[in-house]
Amino acid sequence: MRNLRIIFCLVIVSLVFSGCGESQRETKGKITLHFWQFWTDPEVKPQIESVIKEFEKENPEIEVKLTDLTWSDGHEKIVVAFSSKTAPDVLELGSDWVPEFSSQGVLLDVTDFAEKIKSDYMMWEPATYQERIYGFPWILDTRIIFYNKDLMSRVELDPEKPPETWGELLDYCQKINALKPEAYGFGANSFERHRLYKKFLPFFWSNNGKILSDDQKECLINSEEGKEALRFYKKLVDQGLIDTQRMLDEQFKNIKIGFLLSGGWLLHDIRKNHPDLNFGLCLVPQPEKDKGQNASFAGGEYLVINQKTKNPKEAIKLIEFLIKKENCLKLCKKIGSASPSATDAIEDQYYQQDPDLLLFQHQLQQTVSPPAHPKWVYMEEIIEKAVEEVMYDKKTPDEALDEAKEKIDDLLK
Amino acid sequence: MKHKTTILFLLPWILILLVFWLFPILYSLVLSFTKYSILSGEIKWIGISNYLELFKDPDFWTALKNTSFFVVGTIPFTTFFALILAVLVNQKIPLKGLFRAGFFIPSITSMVVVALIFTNLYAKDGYINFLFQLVGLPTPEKGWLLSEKTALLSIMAMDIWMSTGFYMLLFLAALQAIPEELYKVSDVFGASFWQKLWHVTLPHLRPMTLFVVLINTIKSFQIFVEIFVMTKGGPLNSTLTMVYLVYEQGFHKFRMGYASACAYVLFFIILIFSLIQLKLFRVGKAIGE
Amino acid sequence: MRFQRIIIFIVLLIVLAGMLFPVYWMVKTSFSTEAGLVIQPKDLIPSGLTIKNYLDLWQWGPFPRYFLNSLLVAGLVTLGNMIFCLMVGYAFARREFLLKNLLFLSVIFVIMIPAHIIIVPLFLIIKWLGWYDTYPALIVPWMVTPLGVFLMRQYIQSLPRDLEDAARIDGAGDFKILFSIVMPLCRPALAVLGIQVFLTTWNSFLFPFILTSSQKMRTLPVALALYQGYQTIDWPHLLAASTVAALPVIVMFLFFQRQIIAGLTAGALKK
Repeated sequence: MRNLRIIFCLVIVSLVFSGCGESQRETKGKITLHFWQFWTDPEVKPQIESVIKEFEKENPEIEVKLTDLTWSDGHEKIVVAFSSKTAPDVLELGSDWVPEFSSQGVLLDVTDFAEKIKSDYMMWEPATYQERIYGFPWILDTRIIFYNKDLMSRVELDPEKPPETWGELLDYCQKINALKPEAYGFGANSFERHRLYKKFLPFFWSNNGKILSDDQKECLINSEEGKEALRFYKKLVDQGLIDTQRMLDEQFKNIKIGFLLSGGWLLHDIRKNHPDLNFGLCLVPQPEKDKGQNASFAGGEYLVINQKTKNPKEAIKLIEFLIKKENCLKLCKKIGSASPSATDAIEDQYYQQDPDLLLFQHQLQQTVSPPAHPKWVYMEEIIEKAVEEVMYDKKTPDEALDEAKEKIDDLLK
Repeated sequence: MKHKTTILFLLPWILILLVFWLFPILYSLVLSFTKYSILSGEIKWIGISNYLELFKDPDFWTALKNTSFFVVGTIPFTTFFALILAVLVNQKIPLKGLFRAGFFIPSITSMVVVALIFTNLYAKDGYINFLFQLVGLPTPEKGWLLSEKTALLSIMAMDIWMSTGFYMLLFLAALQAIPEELYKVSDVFGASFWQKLWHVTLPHLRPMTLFVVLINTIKSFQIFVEIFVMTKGGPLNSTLTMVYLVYEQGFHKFRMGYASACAYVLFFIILIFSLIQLKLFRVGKAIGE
Repeated sequence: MRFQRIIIFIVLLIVLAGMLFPVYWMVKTSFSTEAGLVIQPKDLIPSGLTIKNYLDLWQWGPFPRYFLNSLLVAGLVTLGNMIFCLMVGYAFARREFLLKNLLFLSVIFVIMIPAHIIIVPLFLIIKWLGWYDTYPALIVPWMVTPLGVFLMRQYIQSLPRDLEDAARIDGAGDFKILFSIVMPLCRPALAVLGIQVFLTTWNSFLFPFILTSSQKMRTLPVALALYQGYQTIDWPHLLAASTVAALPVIVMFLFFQRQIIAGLTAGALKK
């Protein structure tokens, strides 16, 4: 027994020492940049690694150390890193996270450099806070309407004529919903934090609704435009099915949903795993033929720099390289349905000769971002709760939005 | 001499406690009295304001209600099923090993994977609805996880499914400690299966029952992963639990002080529950003797 | 009597079927050729089966390394707990000392606090020790688990002292008494402890995810999380990986359960 204890102690001691050696060894003489990113998919990761290798070749004095983040919990890891002052030099953040972090003062102000290249890239709003820029748009995505052509044919609608107005969308959904429980009209997102608002706000924005006044001192969510939008959304939800985003995507692939608001990942999934699905894409419809817009949610991945980085110049170099159209396009091709943030990406052959991808590009041109306000996370929750209460018949759209306005006004004080 | 070895015996825990756990516990306790923004690092002492705000927060009370319901609703069933299964599997029946392993397997897989699978099972056109419709039972209009009346119950059912096997194992271990002679003696007196169960088996299982109920309580009060994966607190806050509230406040609203206060209220509740259970079982034991 | 046993057997069989139903679908999907998770009655009998998903695992990142990492970490934590919880539990069960109750409460306190609250300060400590992204970070803080201490204390308290007293009269030292006499008597409890600690450590996700960052320190649960893609889930591969990840636990279970069933040797305790 004594021997066992001694052996055990030795094992622990050796572990401690071996552990010390295993930690990140940095090559002497080179500047090391730590880069945290989310693309760990076996098809995309090698592409990222090769782009990084090219960067290292062009900049031999810089070494990039990559760390993988999981989509499900990466946000937590980033928060822990920042709060313990161990955040990496460069990291990837989702578009709705950038204002969270920039308003807390942990991201590097890159306005001076960004101004120089501003016109070459689009969707700067999520990265802008109080007129300063804190990140670079990298890989963009948005939400668009997917519809099932087979289901449309079944209810005697022309599958090549997707809805262009709210009236048409509601009508088509009603017709398909008559097939239930075999199929439902509209796929409505259930209460999923940080997701539901991305499905409702496109309609809100299409009706020219505004969440906050320009000076951000007042909440305008309960304007007549806003109420119209929520009333319409409720009617739409009643002609369909409520479920989580993942389940809705599944149902759509199984020809159980006629119309769904979803993003690029679904397009990629269908092409890869359900090539026989007879589906189409269309822009978010306008309220009426000549009223409103085809607005959607501006989403995507941004590259930001840690405010406390020791190598800001090199960090900017890395980001500049990654967002360049040619490099970014390589990644987007592997991801399957995203777009580089470069303004001229839409003109690339890759998008021009693919009608579905081209439509995504068109929708990208008409996106709106939520207001960049430090308390946006709270507002998001209030809006999502309001929409949920309407979906579950606990409040009328008017009541819900009036209450939401009061709560958000409280936050703005 | 004795004292020296006592200290040596206790050393592993003392070291680990002091090095790794004491600081985090005190740190978070102190934080609960501050307004602390986890990212910007701004910190301000505000005394018990967090706790006062907590008690005025409707979400806090909803979370407390849901969590308590979850605890009270799952523990009796899990304990009961685990105990019964252990007793049954311990009988002289063929394929005991198969049953032991089979019941244990649900506890093995990662909770995330199980939660994802159950989301599919609970879907509107999922298997569970299929079975219900087969026997003519009604199914919720919007779906199990999407109706505010059934969402929490569905997660509770899943939790019972997952945990029973593990606790069955604990009871099986305890059953082995019951001397064979006691059963032989009761056989001589002509005792039935139920009489043996009640007079011989159950009293001997009391310490293990306490242990099972205690650790199940502590774990159940902290339920998080299933909520995070399946419902994110919805629908209409019906599955909002204390730890999920702590997570949202701390990691998405960056209000670590407030989140810590919530965590400590939870801590006290668990502590009180545990102390009550310890007292109850000890009193019972004294009477039994 | 016979009849009773048959009833019990049938009841158990039905319960078993219900318990394993979701597991059946998990394993079936891991062998399927389709991309999604389809749990429909019509698909009850598997049609197209393939082991491609399992083969793919080996090509996506160093899967054997993840497996070994998990094995090393879970193995050492389990071993450590079996030895240390025995020691600490024994002290609580048999000895009196200053601040005994407070120290025992401290054991229970630790598991009553949600992980999200202590993750940041724990991270700071690990960083300060220079253990970020190393094995010790995943092993040492968990070498003595509160539940283990509690379990051992309960169990040892219920053992009669006769043998220990006899050994002491014979002049045996404390450590000898603990490891030669008490430990064998605790076999069922140690086995349960072993399974519980191994299982918890094997499936542990949050701490390994936060406390490590490089691929070579990755453990299986973190690797599994990577199959949850950007808004989609790679089901066949996720389930194949989960099935492989479950195997060592089953092996551990089979090993430990024999210890549980072996139980106490009746002879030693006869007065």
